[in-house]
Amino acid sequence: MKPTAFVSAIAGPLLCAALVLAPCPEGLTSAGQSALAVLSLCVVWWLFTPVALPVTSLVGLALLPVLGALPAAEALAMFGNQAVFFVIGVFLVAVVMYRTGLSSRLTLVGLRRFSGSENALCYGVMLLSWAMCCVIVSHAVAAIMLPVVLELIRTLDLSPRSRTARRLLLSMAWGTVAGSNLTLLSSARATLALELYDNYRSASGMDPDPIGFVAYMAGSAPVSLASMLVGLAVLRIALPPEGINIAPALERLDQKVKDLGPLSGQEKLTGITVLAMVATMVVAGPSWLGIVALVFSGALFLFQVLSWEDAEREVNWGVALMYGGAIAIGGALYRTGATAWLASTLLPDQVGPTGALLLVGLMSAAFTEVVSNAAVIAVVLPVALPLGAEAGLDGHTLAWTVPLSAGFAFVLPTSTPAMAMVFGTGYLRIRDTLPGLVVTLLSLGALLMLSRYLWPLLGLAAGSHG
Amino acid sequence: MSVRRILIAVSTSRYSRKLVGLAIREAEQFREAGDTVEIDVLTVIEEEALARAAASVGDSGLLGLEAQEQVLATLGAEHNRMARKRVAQVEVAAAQRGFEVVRYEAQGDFVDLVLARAEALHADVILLSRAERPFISRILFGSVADKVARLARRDGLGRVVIQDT
Repeated sequence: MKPTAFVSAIAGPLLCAALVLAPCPEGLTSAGQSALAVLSLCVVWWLFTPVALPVTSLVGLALLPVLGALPAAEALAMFGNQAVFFVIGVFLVAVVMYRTGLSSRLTLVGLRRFSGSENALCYGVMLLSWAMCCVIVSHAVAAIMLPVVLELIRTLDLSPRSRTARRLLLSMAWGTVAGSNLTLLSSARATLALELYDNYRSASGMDPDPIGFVAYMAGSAPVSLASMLVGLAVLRIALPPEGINIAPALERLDQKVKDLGPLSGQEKLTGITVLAMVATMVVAGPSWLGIVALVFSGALFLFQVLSWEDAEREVNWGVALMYGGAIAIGGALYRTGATAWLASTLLPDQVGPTGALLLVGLMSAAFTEVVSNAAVIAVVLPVALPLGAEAGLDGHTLAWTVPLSAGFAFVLPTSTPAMAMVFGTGYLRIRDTLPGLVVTLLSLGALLMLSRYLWPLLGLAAGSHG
Repeated sequence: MSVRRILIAVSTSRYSRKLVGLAIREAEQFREAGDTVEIDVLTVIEEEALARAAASVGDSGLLGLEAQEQVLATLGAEHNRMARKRVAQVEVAAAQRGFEVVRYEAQGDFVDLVLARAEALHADVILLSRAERPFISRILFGSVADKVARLARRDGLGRVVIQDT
């Protein structure tokens, strides 16, 4: 175990114990104090990962009844929410797209179509990585695109200091990072955020107003597109073309497309099933998302395009534990009034809705550089929602803002698997993180602008900025 | 006349063409002094860094074992390719000046492997590259090249020359 992990393994429980044993502050219930103690342990462990992320979620879930935050039955019931089943469906779709070769075909054919020059090749890699995230979870897109991009670099015989090599790799990573904000299928964190938001409304006595597939995409896709375009422009300026001859890469792509042969029956079946699933999610509405995901996941097995053995190997089933536990911990924080107390204590009086939104956006974007973005949602959103209410901000706005800004992981290799992969190639150095900082700040700016002007226009949020 | 050994230690992220030029200059100085020179190139595949990238696919990407293995294999293949390419560059430059090159590849921790190889060879000079960073940054975040130099000095493993890139 690394020294930081070892220290955090001890510090987490100590902090938790200290909060439980401390005198209860005015305005906070003892159950709320216990819920905050559980959160403190989870924050430390999610940040320094002395144990895997799903284990932290499970420990948090178990501590809720042990420390008296919630009765055991209530805590465990929150674990079985529809977001968990939706996320399982999201990952199974990614697996089947990969297993049948449909994702590789889409990648190669799309890339060949876009590529005409060095610039176009780089744009094509980013655009395609971004677009594939429409239906495939972004981390899987990065894993699919990495060998393709490295093969292009190999074919062009680019050196590690080559601007084009670095631009291609960052195009792939930033394309998937921006694409992770595209739809509910692009990443699991949006579903987690929406479930936490539903729990918050219900705990606060508000009428249910769930956000569905189309509504979420209407708010998220313009932000995702803006991030992707900013990424394209920043890379074009920071790593201008070297004037290399890309003909060998095009020949290689042609050969690979030829090697794929005609579309197989399994690929067709997969494509139809996934499209039908998306269409059903659109029609069925928000409260059916988890059920639709389960039904179509079952269909993938029934049609024999996915076997259970493949699913066992290719899905990290800890995903269900991670999300189930995080939702239960978030729910406990709302139900005990812990986060409402925290928000009223933390928020300075002079902060208005815009200030609160900026604060939450910056906090989420900063945390996501060092912590798993699912953990960012689990920690930031439960505090942000009551904080936003205190500042006069519409809750719907935050239900988009937190997962979207937690998706702006453009800077460090620790931020997201796509960035870890491209830095792992050895082509990028620490100074290559600077353009990512520019993209993050500009994306945050675009998010604030769109939340203020576009979302109210689309009827997605009240737009109560000051 | 004695045999002088120059060890060039490289990895995918620790290399520069200037390092090759530096090695040739060092070798020529030894030759002018009447010594026989052998240039040893140690290429380190830093598997811990590769494994870390692959593990992130499972830990925070929550993808399964196959995706992690595929990422590890892809990164490993790329690092091996770069290693071969770099050794070839050293061989070409050395052959032009009539020096012999011995190549050696290893997987593991860069510092440990460089020190072990220097000791086994009784290297006279150890050449390393280092990304140019402010001194304060190296103090705060550490530098692998500086660590090799410090430990080599402690263990009397030859003169360490660091080339900033």
